[in-house]
Amino acid sequence: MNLEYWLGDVRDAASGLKRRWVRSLLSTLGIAIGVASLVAMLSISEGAKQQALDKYQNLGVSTLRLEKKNADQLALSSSFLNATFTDTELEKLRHNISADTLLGYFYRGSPLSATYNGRIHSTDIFFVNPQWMDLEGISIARGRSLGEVDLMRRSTQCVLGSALAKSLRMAEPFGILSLGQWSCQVIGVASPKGRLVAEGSGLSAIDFDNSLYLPVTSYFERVKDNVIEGYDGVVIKLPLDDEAEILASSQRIEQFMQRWIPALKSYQLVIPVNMLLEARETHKLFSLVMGAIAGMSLLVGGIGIMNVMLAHIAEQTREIGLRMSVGAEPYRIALLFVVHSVLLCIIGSVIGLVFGVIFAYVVQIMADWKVAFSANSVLVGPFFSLITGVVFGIYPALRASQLDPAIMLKEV
Amino acid sequence: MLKAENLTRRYGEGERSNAVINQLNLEMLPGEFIAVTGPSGAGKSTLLSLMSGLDKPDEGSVWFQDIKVSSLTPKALAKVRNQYFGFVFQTPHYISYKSVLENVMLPFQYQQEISHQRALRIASELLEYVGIGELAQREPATLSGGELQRMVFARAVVNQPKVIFADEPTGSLDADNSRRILDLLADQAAQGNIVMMVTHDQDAALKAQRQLELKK
Repeated sequence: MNLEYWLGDVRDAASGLKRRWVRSLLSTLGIAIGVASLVAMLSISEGAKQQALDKYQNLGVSTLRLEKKNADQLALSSSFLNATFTDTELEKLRHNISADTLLGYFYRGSPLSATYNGRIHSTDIFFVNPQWMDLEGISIARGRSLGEVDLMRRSTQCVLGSALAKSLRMAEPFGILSLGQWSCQVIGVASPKGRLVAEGSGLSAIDFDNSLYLPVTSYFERVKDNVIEGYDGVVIKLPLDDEAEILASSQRIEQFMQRWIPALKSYQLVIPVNMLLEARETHKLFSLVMGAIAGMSLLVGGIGIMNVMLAHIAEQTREIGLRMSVGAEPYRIALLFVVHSVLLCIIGSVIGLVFGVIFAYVVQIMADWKVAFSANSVLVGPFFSLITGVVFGIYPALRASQLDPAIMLKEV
Repeated sequence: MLKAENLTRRYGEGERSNAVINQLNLEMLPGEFIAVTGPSGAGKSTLLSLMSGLDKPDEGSVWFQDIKVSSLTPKALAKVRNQYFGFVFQTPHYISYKSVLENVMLPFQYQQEISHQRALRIASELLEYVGIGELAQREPATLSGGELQRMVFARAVVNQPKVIFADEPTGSLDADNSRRILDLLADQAAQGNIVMMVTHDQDAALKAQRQLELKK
């Protein structure tokens, strides 16, 4: 097959469009709107998905979080305030999970003003076990982290969040930090970590960089005068990667706790993988609905293209007759008009793509929604528009290829 | 050889049908220039369309060499038209967005064997031959009637066809341009090709070796 003459068909189709450029441009608007809707919708949807993924990645997909309900939540759930999650419950749990599952727990003290060398900074205080720091991914930039020995000694040694250390200008050798009525010896400074993004999960946010970490065992002595109280939070890290396994394992733990740990009523259990799957379902549904709406636009655009193609053919009967008389096979006539229709859709796609991207950015700025462009969001619209071009171009093209050349050549 | 056997073409349905061509037999040999004459409505153009495969007979058959043209599929007919037939119509049909040269090259767009360079060379030479070589890059709409008809003639013979069908080729031309076109057609016959020309112009018909007069 001589490529030059195939390109000739493409050039002829393009010339045909150029001659009727106003009509051609108008006929592509339907396709352009359809593609723009698809691009914008998929980008917004992709952004929402990305945001949800980021959130659950931040929470840890294989990490279950148990957190004491606040007074409002307790009132709503008519739970008992004194149902607490103490070492007893922790032991029960430990016996019913695999040995390699990590358990972290903490008490959250009231915010305090930390003073060092005349500088004051307000800080959140967490009394934690060493695993909790590992589970939350708090790494040490300078000095050392809390260890089991610190727990045993009930020492008042502490680790500072990066922002807190910076604000207090804490440098090695570390000094003693004053916390009002008591104090702690600084042993380390954590690397910057950011925040625990807890929006939508019901959990309290944690600003890791502005917090102070002490051994969990020092809590009662320093803060609560040896009154036993339930932990404010427990974090369970499953040694699994597969989402289905994580979900099954999470559900087993939840069922166990519901049955054997009455304190669960005073706590809320957050299973991120559950929320992730729900978010995915919602995202799928959203994409489907938006896709259907955008698909309708493409359909309408396709019908517009078909109408214009039929009008083109009606005006080009002599040209079609001439081509047939010099030896154009019916499929070449059909091909010419399919190429014509596809070219219209390509123009529509390019216009739609540009406006779709602009629209998505406008939505990002005006509505403060995150948008993300992926190969999927940028290519799906044009791909379906090409399919539309071929599908809606076929009928007019076949009609043109079956015209009678003898009659067409007589038409003036 | 181009041959018609018991060729019949009717228009209309049932009792109202009218046989424009009725049981016509005709044989044309290579090198023959035949003029089909007759009054309007006698079926001259219909006969030309039937012989060239642009139209299908209701009865009878058309043969070109050993090919039964009247029974070919649209695809096979297209190939026959591209390789063996050339057309000159009274109204010079052309594609307005192509140059004169590109219009002449149009039959090559539907051939697979010839290279673009060779097609260009043949088309350019033919434009020189018909006397409008300097107009090759012009848009057809800027040409005069006579120039257009010469462009159409060049396109009709660019494929070196064996049969040239001309439907009133001088119908809209002045005497000088008519003579040129008729000379070109006669030249084709002299080269061994069949020329079948429909005309109502007796002077033009005299240029042919044989005349076939159709009656109403």
